[in-house]
Amino acid sequence: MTCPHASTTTVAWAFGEFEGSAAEGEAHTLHVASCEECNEALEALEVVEVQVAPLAGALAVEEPTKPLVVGVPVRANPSGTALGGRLWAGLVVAAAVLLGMARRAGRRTAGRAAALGAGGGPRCAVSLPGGGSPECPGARPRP
Amino acid sequence: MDRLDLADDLCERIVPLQGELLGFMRRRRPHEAEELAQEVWLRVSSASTPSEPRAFRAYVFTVARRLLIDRHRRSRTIGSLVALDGGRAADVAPSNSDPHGQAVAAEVLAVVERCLASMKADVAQVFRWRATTDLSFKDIAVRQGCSLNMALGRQHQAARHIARALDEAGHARRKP
Repeated sequence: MTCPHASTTTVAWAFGEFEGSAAEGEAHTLHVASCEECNEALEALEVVEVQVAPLAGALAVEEPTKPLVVGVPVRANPSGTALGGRLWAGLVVAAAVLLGMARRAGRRTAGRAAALGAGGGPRCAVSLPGGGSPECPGARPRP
Repeated sequence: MDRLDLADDLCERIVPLQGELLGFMRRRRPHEAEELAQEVWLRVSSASTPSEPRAFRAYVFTVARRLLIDRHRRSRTIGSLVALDGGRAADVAPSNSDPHGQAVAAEVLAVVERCLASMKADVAQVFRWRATTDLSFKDIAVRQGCSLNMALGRQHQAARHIARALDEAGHARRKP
């Protein structure tokens, strides 16, 4: 195919979907009449339309899908976020909560480490006669 | 050339093609052949046509083919709207009293379905949507998420493929 119209403009023109002026449509009619490829394209369209149009009702129908979602512009706020700042607020709150939890966990760990360092730790109220550790009833001294 | 001379000139060019155009229309839409042929001449006479006889003939049949496509599409819509009133529906599909017509229709349908099954899904989809719905090529392009030219190209591809298959099966009337 060397004529770019044969598979585009000529198809639209043949089905009455040509988007030019009447004069342009007329000019395209002259083009199709003189262009071998456009003429062949028109012939094929006509043959198929004449043969298939009466049987269109018997053709297996494929339900048209819904149009693809087209991007909708969202009103931007001064901070430039698409969610009106809510995203940032959410992130700040989440970060604060995580930070708080981390701090609390850090404090608890530090306290335990300090207690262990001073020889403390949880002590057992019962001292075992079999040489058990005084810190925990089940613990045995390591060899 | 004044207007009268122009009309005479056009008449001289039309006369040799009249029989051929009428035959062309009769083979395609026998019930409306005269009306369609007149419509072609009307369109030709109101346009600036090529003066060279061969180019003029090509122009006339280009107008005729386009008119046929338009008429078939319209009658399909009307046929589906008034299919039960016994009016134009009779022109649209072979009736029960025409077993030969029904057999030919079944054969054509089988050829078309076979062709569509062998095509790429997107190409066959454009053809089916055009044949069974009122979607424009623009609508189809939006639904398929492609450009308008791509949708038009797919219709072109499908039509060529089916026309060739119909030709091979002896169901196409390509030449005027």
